[in-house]
Amino acid sequence: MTAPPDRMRTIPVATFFGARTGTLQDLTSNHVAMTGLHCDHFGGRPPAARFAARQIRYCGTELHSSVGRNLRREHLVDIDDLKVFPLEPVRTEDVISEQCARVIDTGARLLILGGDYSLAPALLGGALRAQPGASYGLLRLSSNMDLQSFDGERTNLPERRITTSRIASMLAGGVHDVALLGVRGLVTTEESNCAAGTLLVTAGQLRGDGRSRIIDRLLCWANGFSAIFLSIDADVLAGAAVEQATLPESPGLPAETVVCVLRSLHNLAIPIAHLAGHRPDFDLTGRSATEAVAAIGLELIEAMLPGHGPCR
Amino acid sequence: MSVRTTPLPRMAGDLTFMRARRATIEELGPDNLAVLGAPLERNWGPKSGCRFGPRALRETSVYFGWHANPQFSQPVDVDARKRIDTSSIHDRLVDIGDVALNNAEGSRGKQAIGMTIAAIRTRGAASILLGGDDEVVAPALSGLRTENPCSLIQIGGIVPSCGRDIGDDRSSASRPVAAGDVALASTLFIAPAQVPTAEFCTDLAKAGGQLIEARHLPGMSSGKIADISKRLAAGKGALAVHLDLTALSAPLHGMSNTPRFDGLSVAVLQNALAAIGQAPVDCFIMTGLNPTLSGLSIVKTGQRLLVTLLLGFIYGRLRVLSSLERESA
Repeated sequence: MTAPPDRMRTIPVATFFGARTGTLQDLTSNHVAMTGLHCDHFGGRPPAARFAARQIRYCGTELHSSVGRNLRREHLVDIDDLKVFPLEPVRTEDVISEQCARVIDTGARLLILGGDYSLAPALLGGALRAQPGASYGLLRLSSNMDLQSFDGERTNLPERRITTSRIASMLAGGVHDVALLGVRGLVTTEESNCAAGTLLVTAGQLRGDGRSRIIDRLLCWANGFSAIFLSIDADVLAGAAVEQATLPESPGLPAETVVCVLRSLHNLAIPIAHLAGHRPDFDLTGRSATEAVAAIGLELIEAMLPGHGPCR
Repeated sequence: MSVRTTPLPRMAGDLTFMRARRATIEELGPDNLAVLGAPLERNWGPKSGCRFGPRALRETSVYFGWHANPQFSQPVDVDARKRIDTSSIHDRLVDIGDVALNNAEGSRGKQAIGMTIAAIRTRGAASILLGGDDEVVAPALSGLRTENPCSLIQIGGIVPSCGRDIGDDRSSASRPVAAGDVALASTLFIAPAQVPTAEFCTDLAKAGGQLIEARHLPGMSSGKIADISKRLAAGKGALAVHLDLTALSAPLHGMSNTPRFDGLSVAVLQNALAAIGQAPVDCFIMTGLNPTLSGLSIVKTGQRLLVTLLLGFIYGRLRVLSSLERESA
């Protein structure tokens, strides 16, 4: 055996997109802090999205050599996963809000990966706690509106079905501060009525020829806010990319379309974003679903990186 | 300050081995026990999958990451009824990631394993190498060798065909013995997976090596095993320990490509490893886990057993415990 070289390299254990690991002390306004959310307990679907952070870490580490080759990794910090215990809806949300607030207090942008959409109000709650003066808008890419009525009390509905309504109640302009992109399939009359005040773009419209006009409209809407809470649910993707996500007759969006939309958001202030709903089904890395989600995650990072739209 | 203040479930967070802190080779010192993955296998046949071993073992090991939790700074091993001071584990056990094998063709991958092991040894640190199948053993032993051949304790696996053609020999120790990386006089084979031939036993005895069959190990005291290990470590070369999953009885785990039914129990093997850990082992190599058998990513018995066994070695090597035998009242 020849003498070992002075600096032998090993491949570190997986982090999000090959980012370095760090703590709150490592964060500044130049960073995007990435954290995992291993909680899908309240969304009303079988357990799976809790494993998304792990799979994206595995997949993202391998992807960074190709897809994320030009990623400005010096701005990225993997800050471990959020605490989600105790698993009681109100207390869990409070715990998550408090952690999000501490991260955003550092000035860093916060990207939450994994979990399901039902915890989004807690994430936004943290951002509002850290930036009480900010006027937030919700920009959501999902096949569902989740606008069932919410009267302040929890119901027997899966938590996710009322989540957009709950978020709207936290925003100054209510549903007018909500943009829903990629909606498809059948919705209830109640949801359809609630959605009247939102900026609603269906998956079919996004797939069509008028995407640039839609994006102009979206940017015009977004410029009315000092900050955007960006929530992307993997169910927005077409079934070819994410199994069981859609019916054949109402196909979702290809990952390229989602990436294209995200690319148009580079001039917005996005202090907090959530990539939810990916159900990796214990897959090996390299499966198309996780790769598609990881590719969206990379574009999300690009949209949030410093230099694109400072937090106002 | 971490954003999170309490432990995580198994599948979440930073999945280093036993939640150990991360380190690079340059940061290692003589006190460190460095965990290193080598996701390498022969990569043929319907049952390939050992390359996922390091990942599966890391995920499973997170169950034992209590040393990273302040609430469990002084846990008690419920079997041994012994208090374990976790501070030394947390300070000394580090995860340095995987050998960089991406897209490397076979021989370069093996060379990378050897060079990495050599670099760790140069810094005076001990290592735990997570395979992989037993293809990782020969390059690791090659990396450990300096001017003197290594001593080897092989547990499970197949014994080499000494002095004969090694072309068809499936033993991971054959090539290191033939190449002079391992001195047969400084070998100890414990519970080999196949019955050794009479010729091998004769050759081994002539050379001065030892063989302990699976049925004899339960009758040996921890002190005796520790003494043998220390004697092997007293040689001029490095001491390596190779544990293959075939050492365990297949009914316990069912996760080896080479099942056996006369293997060791976990209790016996864990005691033996704690005793072996009393010697200054330079490299502990674990091979043979195929986590894809009967489905990937569920914490399966075999994975739990291997990590439990590793705990015995880590307790011993870091001097947390002198043995896992229960103290008399």
